[in-house]
Parts: sequence; C-alpha cells; structure tokens
Amino acid sequence: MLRLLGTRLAAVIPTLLFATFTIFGLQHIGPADPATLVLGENATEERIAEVREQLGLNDPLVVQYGKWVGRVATGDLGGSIIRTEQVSTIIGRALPTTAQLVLSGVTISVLIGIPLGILAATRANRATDVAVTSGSAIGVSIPNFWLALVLITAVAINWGLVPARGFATLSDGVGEAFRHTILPAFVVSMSGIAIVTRQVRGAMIEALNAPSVRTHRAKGLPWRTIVWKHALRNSAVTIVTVVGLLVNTTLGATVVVESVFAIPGMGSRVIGAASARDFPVIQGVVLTYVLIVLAINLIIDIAYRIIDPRIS
Amino acid sequence: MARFEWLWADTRAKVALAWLILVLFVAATAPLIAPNDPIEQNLTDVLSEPSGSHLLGTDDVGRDFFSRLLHGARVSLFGSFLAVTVALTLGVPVGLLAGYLGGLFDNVAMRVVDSILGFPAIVLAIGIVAALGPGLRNAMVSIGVTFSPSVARLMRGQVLATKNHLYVDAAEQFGSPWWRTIVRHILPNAIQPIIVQSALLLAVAFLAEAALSFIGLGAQPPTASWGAMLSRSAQFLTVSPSVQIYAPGLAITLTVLAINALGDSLRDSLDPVAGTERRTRRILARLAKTEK
Repeated sequence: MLRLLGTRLAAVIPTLLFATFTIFGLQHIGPADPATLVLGENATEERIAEVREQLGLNDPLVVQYGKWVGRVATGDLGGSIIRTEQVSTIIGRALPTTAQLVLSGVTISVLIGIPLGILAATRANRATDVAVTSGSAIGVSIPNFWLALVLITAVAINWGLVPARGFATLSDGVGEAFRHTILPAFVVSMSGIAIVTRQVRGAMIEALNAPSVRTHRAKGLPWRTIVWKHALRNSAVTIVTVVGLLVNTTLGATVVVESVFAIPGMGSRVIGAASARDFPVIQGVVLTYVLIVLAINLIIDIAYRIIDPRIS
Repeated sequence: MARFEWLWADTRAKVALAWLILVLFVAATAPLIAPNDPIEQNLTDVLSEPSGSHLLGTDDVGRDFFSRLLHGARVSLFGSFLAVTVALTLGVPVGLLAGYLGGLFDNVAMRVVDSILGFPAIVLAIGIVAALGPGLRNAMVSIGVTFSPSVARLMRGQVLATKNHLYVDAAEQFGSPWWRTIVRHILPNAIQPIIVQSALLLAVAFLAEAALSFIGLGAQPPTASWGAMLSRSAQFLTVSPSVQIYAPGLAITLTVLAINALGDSLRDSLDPVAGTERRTRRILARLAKTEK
C-alpha cells in the first residue's frame, strides 16, 4: 500500500511541476508589463522601476520561477495587489466556503444520479429511460449561471423560501448553513447529476447483460438483489471514476455560480482578481484548484485498486 | 446522399439541425433582419415590458432586447467556433506527432497534456484571460487552449491505432516521407473521432463563451452576446422584464442541446455498436406503435 502511494505520488510530480510553470507563466504571457498592471497606466517611470525591482522582474525568468516555487512551497503565496492581505489568508477564508458548496453539490449529484441511472438501466429503451436520458441531455446543456438566475427568481425572490444571496458556513449554525447552501449546491450539481446518470446507466446496462446475471436469475435470486448488489458492485469502477470526475466538474461549476449568488468563495475571488489583474491571488487560487484536482485523482487511483484487485 | 443517411434516419438530429440552421441564419443576417440597432440607447425608455415596437422589451439603457438577441447569436457562434479552431490547431498536430514519433516527444507532450487536464478548464481560462486582457477573442482563445489537451490525447490514441496498419507500412516502403505518410495516410484514417469530438467541444465552448461573457471577461459592452445580456438582466433581476431573463438562457440551452444532439448522432453513426443500439431502439419503438 505504501509503495503504491509512493509510486503514484512520484508520477504526480512532473504534472505538478508543469502546472506550477503554467501558473507562474500566466502573468508573463500577456502583452502588459506586470509592474504597469500593478500601478496602472499613469504611473511614473521611477515608480515602475521601483516596483519592478520589488517584484523581482529584473531577474531572468528561470530565476524568478525558482524563487516563486521556493516561496510557494513554504506556503507563502505573496500579498494581494488590490487588498492589503496575504493571498494565503484570502484563500484560507474562501476555501471552506467553496469546499462546503462542492461537497454538497457532489453529494446531491451522487444521491440523485445513481438511482436515476439504475432506474434508466433497468428500464432500458422504455419511456422512463427515454425521459431520464433526455433529462440528462438537458442537464449538461443548461448554463449553470442561468439556472441559478431562474431559481433565484422563483425560489428565493418569488416564494421567499431561501435567501437569494450570500452564504453561511457550518460555523454559523447548521440550519442557517443549510438554507444558504441548498440552492447553489443544487445548481452546481446539475451537470454532475446528468453525468452520473449517463455513466451509471451505461455501466449498469452492461452489468445487467453479463452472463452472471442470468445465473442469478436462474437460481431464483430476487431482481432487487441482483440490481442493487451484484450489478451495482460490478459497476463500482465506473462509479468511482465518475465521482472523481465530478469533483473537477463541480469545482468548475462553482466558479461562476458563486458570483451569481454572491458567495464569497474561491470562484468569486478568482473572478474578482481576474478583472483587477491581481496576479498573486489568481496564481494562489488556481494553484489551490490544481492541488485539489491532483489529490482527488490520486485518491481515485488508489480507490480503483481497492475495489478491483485485477487492476495493478 | 448516403453519407448523410444517419441524419435523415434520426428525428432528434433533424430537429437539432433545423434549430442550428435557424441560429446560423439569424447570425448571418442579424444586421438585416434585426428591427433596431442593437447598441442604440434610449434612456427615456428603459427596462420596458415587451410591446409591439420592442418584441422583448428594452434593457437597462433602452436598447431593443430582441435586436440584441439576434446579434448575440452572431457573437456567441463566432466565439465558440474560434475556440474549437484554436483547440484543433494546437491539439491535432501535437497529437499526430506524439503518436507518430513516440519516444521523448510523446513522453513530454503527454506530461504537458496531463498537467493541463489537471486544471478545471474554466479556472485556467480565467487565468489566461486575466493575462491577455478581457475581450471575446482573448476569452475564446483561452478556452481553445484549455480544450487542446483533450484533442491532442484523442488524436494520439487514434494515430497509435492507425499507424500499424499495412497501408502505412506499404507507403513507407515505397519511400513516402514522414510528413506525407502522416498527412495522406494516417490523418484521413484517424480523423473521424476528432470530428465528433469537435462537435461536442463546440457545445462546451458555447457554454464557456456565455459564462465568460456573463462574468465580464468575454464580450465587452456594448457588444451583445447571450451571456453578456444575461449578466445585464441579472444586475436588474427584480426589475427586468422576466422574458429578458428567460430568452437568452433558453437560446443558449437550445443551441447547446442541438449541438450535443447532432454530435451524439454523428458519433452513433460512426460507432457501429452504439449505432446498432439506437437502431434497435427505433425498430422496437416502431413495432410497439404498430401493435397498438
């Protein structure tokens, strides 16, 4: 197990290395000088030269990259250009919010998607299946920020069931957190529901067509047991893959949806930083996202081997 | 005609195509068919409800919403085609070379591809737009860049599956140079899944254009794009005529749905197994109808 973890971790290193290079390079691919970006167009020559020195922009790119990675590795992401705050402080505050939203979204996707997928698979090619399949086609085609707008109008403004804007984490009380989370979490789970349904349906149809299912039926096993125990277990690898993919998808969905609900999470921060060209914040947030995705991929990779010993 | 048999045999694909032709037509002729100038403001008539002179009412600075919707089709379509073009231009050559050459180039290219796939696409795109500066063109180039790794990986897989065929060997024995082998023998036999993938990417690009314009990094004012229009309506959520919330969103959803449906149908027609499943379903449906 430890050795497996070791080899997997080693395989992540080149990926991470290139990712950090991309993130570092972001502020250098643009046409504008980073120092001018910080100070605005009207800054004096001296001030620009001063800030260039301060940001270390006069060093060769490789040296700058090395210094940057060195700092980041110790957790120092630098200070925001716009706010007088450390980037790590900003991320530390925004991350729990986004994490709560993503975990709720993934949970909803799984809780709705898996039963729907199984339902569609057991009624393959009949009306229920067609309805579920069409529903999931619509689910991946709806822009999530529009769904957010429509639901805010209906559920929050017209019916007044939940707040239209803002957020509350678990530390503000479970009830309050639930009222603020449920609507945005449903919105970010939408494409996830569609993806899970589609994948589970496919995997279950295949599993239910396996010869073992015929044997189970022949020996008189109840259909319910065959579906929920045997076929579902044979679809487990697909389901784990999809859940891993789901975190990435849902994380992406939160970016824009957070800004619609005015949720102070990572997505709102990165959008705000992008408009203001606040590169330290952009780099910090993007790096955090990448680390989360890589960590999830690692967990999925290991989960495979536990579920299916044939994969080595 | 036999080439497009898949299209006529599939009702869903036909409906999807009809909608897309409508959108393309609107995009092409927007300046001619739009009743008003899409950027002409009229501050004495803002946020008005739909009426005879303004079919979908007016927005927060009195611009005719219907005309903006028609012009928006143009912007949104141009943006998503641009993104897919960028993705193909970057992804196809890298995938071809990685698959054909193998070795070090393949190794390095695939590491790069893996690491870009580790970014949530929208986040990387936002980062790149921040660097290049906001605007439709920059936004869609960024989206294209984030799409290119998936194209490269698919292309590489296709080349690996194709390059061991006898005809490739034969071409090489006859002295075909490597670039000719790739362009004339491997590419045409490996391109089909890329075409399907492009269709599906077009749908994602369409959503991405809407999202980036919605958050203000894509199409800039006063340009009308469906995402940017939703952004304005959202700022005036409680006072905007509700049709101004629904119309652009519905237009985006239907277009993405149509592109996806067409892509799926195309894929099924190329994939004998999935195609058979679909055909069986159709035959069963027909039988069920005649039994009644």
